[in-house]
Amino acid sequence: MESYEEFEREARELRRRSADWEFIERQPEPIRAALKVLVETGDLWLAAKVAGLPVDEFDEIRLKAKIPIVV
Amino acid sequence: MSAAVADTCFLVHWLRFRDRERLFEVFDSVAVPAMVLEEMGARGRAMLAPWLASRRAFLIPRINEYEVEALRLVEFSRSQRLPTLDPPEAYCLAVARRRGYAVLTDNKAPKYLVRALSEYASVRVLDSLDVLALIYGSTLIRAVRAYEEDAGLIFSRSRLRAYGVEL
Repeated sequence: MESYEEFEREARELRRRSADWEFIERQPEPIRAALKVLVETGDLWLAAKVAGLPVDEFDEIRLKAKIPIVV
Repeated sequence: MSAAVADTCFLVHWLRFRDRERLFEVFDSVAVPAMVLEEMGARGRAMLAPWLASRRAFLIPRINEYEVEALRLVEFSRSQRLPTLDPPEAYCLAVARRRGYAVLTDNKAPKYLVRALSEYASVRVLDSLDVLALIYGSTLIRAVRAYEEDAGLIFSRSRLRAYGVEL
């Protein structure tokens, strides 16, 4: 198994690069904060909790924000 | 074949996959903890409903013993500075160990935890790429492309190479 730190560093860079920051900045709180949590951590469950939304509903916003989930 | 217990993020993505029904070529049934169902919205529940109706998926109630064990796992992962383990994943691990199920999750933390905690060493943790590889074998590359497109996620290129896939 690859180093988690290495994997997560590369995944975070990819999320930061791919994200539609204009879309993210247009979102109301706490959605905006939750999307930033997702970019930094890759943790969809945690970000959905911050957003106060069901995971699948938050994931639809995640797709619009062009934030990839890296597996 | 056997049963697997799925966490929220795995289900949310897998249920978008055009060939989602093929999951049952690998597992007879999929256990869905009540806490996982509660975290899904209308769309996710609607997509899961046919699996529940056909009894290929079944609900696992909240059981205090598993919840206490899940908290222990969350605390262990924090104390060992492992990748962050979320409560639903921890609950899935607790269920899987007691019931002999596999765990389906797209998060890294459960894979690291079962390597770090000896009593969990026998728990099989699979992410969507592992499941696709089991289903598709030599035609994995087409499935990977379809899954990335449908689910809006990206597989690590190094993990794909480990499966012999170069995109």
